Amino acid sequence: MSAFRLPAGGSSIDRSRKLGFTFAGRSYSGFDGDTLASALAANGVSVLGRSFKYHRPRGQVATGHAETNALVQLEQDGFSTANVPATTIRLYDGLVADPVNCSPSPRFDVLAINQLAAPLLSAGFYYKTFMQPSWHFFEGFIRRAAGLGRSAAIPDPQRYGVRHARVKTLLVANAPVDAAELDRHIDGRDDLLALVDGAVSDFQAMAGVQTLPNTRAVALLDHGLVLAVETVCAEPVEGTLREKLHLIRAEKILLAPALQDQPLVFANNDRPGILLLSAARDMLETHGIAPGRHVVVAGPEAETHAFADRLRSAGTEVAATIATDRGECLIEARGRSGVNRVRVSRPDGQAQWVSCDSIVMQGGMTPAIQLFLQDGGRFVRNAEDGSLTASSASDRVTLLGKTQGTPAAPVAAEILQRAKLAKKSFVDFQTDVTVADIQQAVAEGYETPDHLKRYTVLGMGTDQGRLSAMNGARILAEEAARPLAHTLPTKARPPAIPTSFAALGARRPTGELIRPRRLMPADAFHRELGAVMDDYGWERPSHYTTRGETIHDAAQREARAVRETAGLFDGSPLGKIEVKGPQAGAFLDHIYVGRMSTLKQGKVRYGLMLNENGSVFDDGVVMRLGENHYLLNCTSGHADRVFAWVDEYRQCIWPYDVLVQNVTSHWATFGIAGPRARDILTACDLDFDLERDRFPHMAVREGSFADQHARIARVSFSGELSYELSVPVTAAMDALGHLWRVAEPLGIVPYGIEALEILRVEKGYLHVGADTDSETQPGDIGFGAFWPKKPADFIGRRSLLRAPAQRADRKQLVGLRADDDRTVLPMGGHIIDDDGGSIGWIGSSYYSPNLRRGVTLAMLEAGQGRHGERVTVFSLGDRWQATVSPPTAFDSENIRVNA
Amino acid sequence: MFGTPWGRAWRKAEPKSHYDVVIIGGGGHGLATAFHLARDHGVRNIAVIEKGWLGGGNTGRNTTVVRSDYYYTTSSRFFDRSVKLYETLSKTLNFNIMFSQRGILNVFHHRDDRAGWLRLVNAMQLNGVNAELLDREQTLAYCPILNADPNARFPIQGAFLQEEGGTVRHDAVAWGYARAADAMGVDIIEECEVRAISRSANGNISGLTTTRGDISTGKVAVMAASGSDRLCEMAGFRLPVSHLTLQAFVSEPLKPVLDCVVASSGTGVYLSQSDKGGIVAGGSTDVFTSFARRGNFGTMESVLSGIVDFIPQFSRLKLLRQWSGTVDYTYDSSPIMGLSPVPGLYLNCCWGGGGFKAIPAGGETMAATIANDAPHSLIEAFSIDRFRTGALVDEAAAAGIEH
Amino acid sequence: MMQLRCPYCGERDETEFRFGGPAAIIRPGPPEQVSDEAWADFLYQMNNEAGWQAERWCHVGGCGSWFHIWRHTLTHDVSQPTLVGRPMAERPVE
Repeated sequence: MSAFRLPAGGSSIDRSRKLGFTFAGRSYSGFDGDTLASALAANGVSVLGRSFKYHRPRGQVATGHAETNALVQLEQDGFSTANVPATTIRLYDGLVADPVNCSPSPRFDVLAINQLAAPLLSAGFYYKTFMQPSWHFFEGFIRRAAGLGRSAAIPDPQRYGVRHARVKTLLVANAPVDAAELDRHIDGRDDLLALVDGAVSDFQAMAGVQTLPNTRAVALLDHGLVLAVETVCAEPVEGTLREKLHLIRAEKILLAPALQDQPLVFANNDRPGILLLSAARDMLETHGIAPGRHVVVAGPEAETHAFADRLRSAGTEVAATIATDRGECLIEARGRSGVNRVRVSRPDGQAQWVSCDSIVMQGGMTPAIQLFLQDGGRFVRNAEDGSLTASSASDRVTLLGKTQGTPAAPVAAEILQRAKLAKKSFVDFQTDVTVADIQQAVAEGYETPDHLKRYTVLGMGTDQGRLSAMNGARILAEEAARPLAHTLPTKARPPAIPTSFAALGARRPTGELIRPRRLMPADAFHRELGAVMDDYGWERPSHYTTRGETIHDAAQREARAVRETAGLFDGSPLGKIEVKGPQAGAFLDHIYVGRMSTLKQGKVRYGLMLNENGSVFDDGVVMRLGENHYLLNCTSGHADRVFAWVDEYRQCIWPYDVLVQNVTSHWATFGIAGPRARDILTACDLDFDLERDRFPHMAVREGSFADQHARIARVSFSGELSYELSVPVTAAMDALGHLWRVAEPLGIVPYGIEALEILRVEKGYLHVGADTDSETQPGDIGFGAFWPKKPADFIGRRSLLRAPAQRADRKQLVGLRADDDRTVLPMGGHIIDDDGGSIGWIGSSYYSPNLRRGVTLAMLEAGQGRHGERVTVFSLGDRWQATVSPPTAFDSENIRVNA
Repeated sequence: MFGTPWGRAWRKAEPKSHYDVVIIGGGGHGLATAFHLARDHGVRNIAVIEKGWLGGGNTGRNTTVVRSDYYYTTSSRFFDRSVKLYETLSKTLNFNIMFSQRGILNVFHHRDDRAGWLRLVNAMQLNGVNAELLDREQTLAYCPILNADPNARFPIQGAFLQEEGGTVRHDAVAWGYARAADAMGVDIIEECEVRAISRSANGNISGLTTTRGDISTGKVAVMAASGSDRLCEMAGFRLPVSHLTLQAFVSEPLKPVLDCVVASSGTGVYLSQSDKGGIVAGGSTDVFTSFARRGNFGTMESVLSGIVDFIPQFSRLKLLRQWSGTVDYTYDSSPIMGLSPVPGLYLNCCWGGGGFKAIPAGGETMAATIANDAPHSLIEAFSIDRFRTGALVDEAAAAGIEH
Repeated sequence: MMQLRCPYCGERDETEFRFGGPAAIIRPGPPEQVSDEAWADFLYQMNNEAGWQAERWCHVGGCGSWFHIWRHTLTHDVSQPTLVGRPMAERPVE
């Protein structure tokens, strides 16, 4: 109520341009150049919100991001932004804002009743109460009363950007910079980037300096990386860039920190109309607003007199000036939702009431050096008065300007003595921490700065302690009889100013590009055949459907067709790693459990990789293409990891004369599987000899296909007669088109991952990661017999000699057959013993259209010796009976695969 | 009475020349162990010594989540005991630790991930711990603010839910145990750093040299998180551990909007809302050894952008503070508890990012271990010997994360 | 965010690199002659210096080479790299 717009003045406002806005449902107008806070002040609106705990009326107290009371909810076309300091919002036409944490309005708030319960809500009250009957009983109410603004309810209509910069010198100017001092620290202004606070007006005049407008430095991280956030478009225009994150690397960082003035501590010092001298000066000079008509100015004598003179010259009456450095102090303000008088004590001990409608205060100055502290900088504190001076910086960081604070003003003895009374003297406005709270915390032993902070929440508001840390430390020092130097917080955690998640994360994509989809080279071909794509590390057909078939029905049809005629499967994502060189075989003997050096040219062998802990890491076939040339296949989607792994061993452990290269995306690979696979390939007019005995199972041949270099391997993951045809990735579409034209009339059916899963489980082929876990060792899946005779050491071998590897109750791969053939045992189900304890688990389980029953692979304790035993399967409370069997349920004689 | 000031929560004790048991580390585990030693085993001449300030390590730096969603029976029994003790801890200590059992929802994004989560849910059910698997609709009903776009890069396909899980006011756990232990005569000595650990001729622990004087004792318990390896080195052996930075993030306070702890397996982030209204979030650890307690930007940006992807309406939510702790991880991500190679030296460390939830059971079992000089049955599997024998308790792998 | 120097590619952001644990570890063998204790040390023991630490890093986002550096685990200062297999640089002075 007290503030008003002066008839003239205000350096930033344009009185010819009126802007309309809405606050708490009422319409107002302000001028271009106003902040929301100044526009409200000009309209006589002084109660802007309610405090966190007691819901006391609060108004603007500070400027910019130091503001701790005047937080608003900004409404923008359905998108709502919480807790924005009204002092940081530049007014625009049509702005809509609401106060936070008050209902129904800041002038009348139902939770203000908390003020009556204030004696009950002292520091740490949560910890001592609300235990009977239970915390749950109270928590809902407490949560609803806490919090400040509301979350948005829809996705952000604006965007966020990022920019990298590398400069020789970065200047972060939050205070005026002396040109001569600056020049002493730089070679020239050519390669200087400056982030200049809007309040520092005279900097722009400096020639030759590149400045970033509306940009705040928020963090100084490892190796001098500075994060700064630029406000690009603050108005709610859909699709515009709202904020931009700047990542700035500089050889030298110059910080010119602002000095932040601090509140005075006295009873009811939180009343609207009581504000910092810096805020009052900003109102007056920048926005042409007087804080009141009868103003008390309190603080160091020189500053108070100077500002009092300025107020008088602007036409405002100064009710009193209080020189806190002359033994004068404020004791208590009175007024309901504003101020009408204040009690002042004089050095002689006399106290008197002074009528006023506003109090302007300055209780000491402290440098805002968050970035400096984030870089590991230290500051020294004057042991006498607690004022701060930044001292040693890292090599990279230099402080410019005035970094010497001024002492905190003393707190009246009366306030410290009477603090237990109901009248509240606030140390932290937003979190409602009072002198009495600090006293109580100290009395209970919470007397280190960290304990005090955590017990009372002092300094944990959105102003991050800018207005409370200094007074809190001073009162703690007095109450706990500790040296002041030990009571000030010494760390500053990023960000220096609360910063949006989206801006800080702007370098990383969200949405579709958060993990770019990997498309197979013949992606379009499959989509035309009706492929339904899914994400398996690559976008792959889970199944093909044309007439609204379900995924289940399609997979059943495809799996049947492969066994009856033939199927076409795109295996291009299959991991492919080439190993070349004179020592390739010896090197691979170290990588695999099995021996690869004895593999004959043109032959293929199954290989198992372990980690050093002896657990199965990956599997796949290995082909020997030449004397010194191997091709390793590994699990799709695992190729990058396996490649990095193999190459790490090459570089760091076994530096043999070999090259390792990941060629996964160089080749497209198509599988043709089924009884008619050879007929189909023969009809394709290849220059390969496909005759059964000359090209047996587990062999590989090179030649050409459709005029392209091609490779065919006779390998199978379905248990059928099967060929894998590989062509260079650039030829993928042509080759597949050619294949399809020939094969389709012969009855080939494309099949997806789901059908492949059915086929391989029928056949008892495991899938590493689905059927194995970190416990699984080679012997558990049937590969225990060979390696003990192998001469070479291999990754994980030593771990297979440890005691747990010899245990009789190791979990081993088995098949399960449910009593009821219609049952498909659940993947993720457990096998349980008579006591209901888990003795195994199901990794893969499908309905087999070829066997007309469920087929299941499981890991079961001592499973290899339990074939034929009956077991119970458990999942989500249900139980099934099943019989243990060997893993292979289909063609255990391998007749088809060798056909 | 409500507002009446209590006395000091714990005395400012001066170190005595001898204690029956000295616990190194004034965090949750150390204080809980002292409490149980005094209450359950009648040991009263105990000191808890702390290098810095009480509760200032990972007890006061974690994201306050308490859960018992463990796979192996060994882990399950231990962690579920911990949740049960947490449920009554406020009354046990007469100090409100604000256990808010609002449920923990682990969201998955591919239908093939369901089997892995079902395997865990079934293991928990068989171990007598409540757990459920939710489908997409149930998941979105449980936590309506998640990105519900069915065509999202990481679409919501379902979730694993532990309803008994939730959050606890972390500082209160340290303070509550400290207050209760102090009341039974335990000396809590802050700003006291161990400089040396001495052993007698027979190899047994005989005492400590600290910055506040020498202390003779026959039993020393190392519960100092990332300081533990250095302490063990003083006693003559090393811990098989890696030290990494784990970051946490808290936003400005909001009115209630998130009513459970929710995690995404796609983006790797997890978050909850505190009683004060801040959104508390975390992700994976930083990827290199550090004792700097400052997080790296790569992890920070992936957590924050991951949250925006998972819950798009949080894009403008403002980060208020990021902070870090040094976490001590073993190869299998399970703790090291019990006896050590040195007689009279007991271990309770290497909790990685997961020690907070284990505090009550850690205290109870370690107190018994120290009193009886034999490992409590619930912690036998967590012995340091497992790294020599290879009998690991690999929870991360069983949960399908790594193999 | 740290910047590391790849021996081939020069200075790059930390996000291009992968940390590989202690530098210059010796893989013990042959397996039958390695004790459980020595094998456990190889598998699970890290250096964990609170200060300068010899480390192995890989430039995965670039040329893929593994190299050694000294890195200070409290300040995150780093030394010049040396390729794996070459002698390590001297430990930097504090």
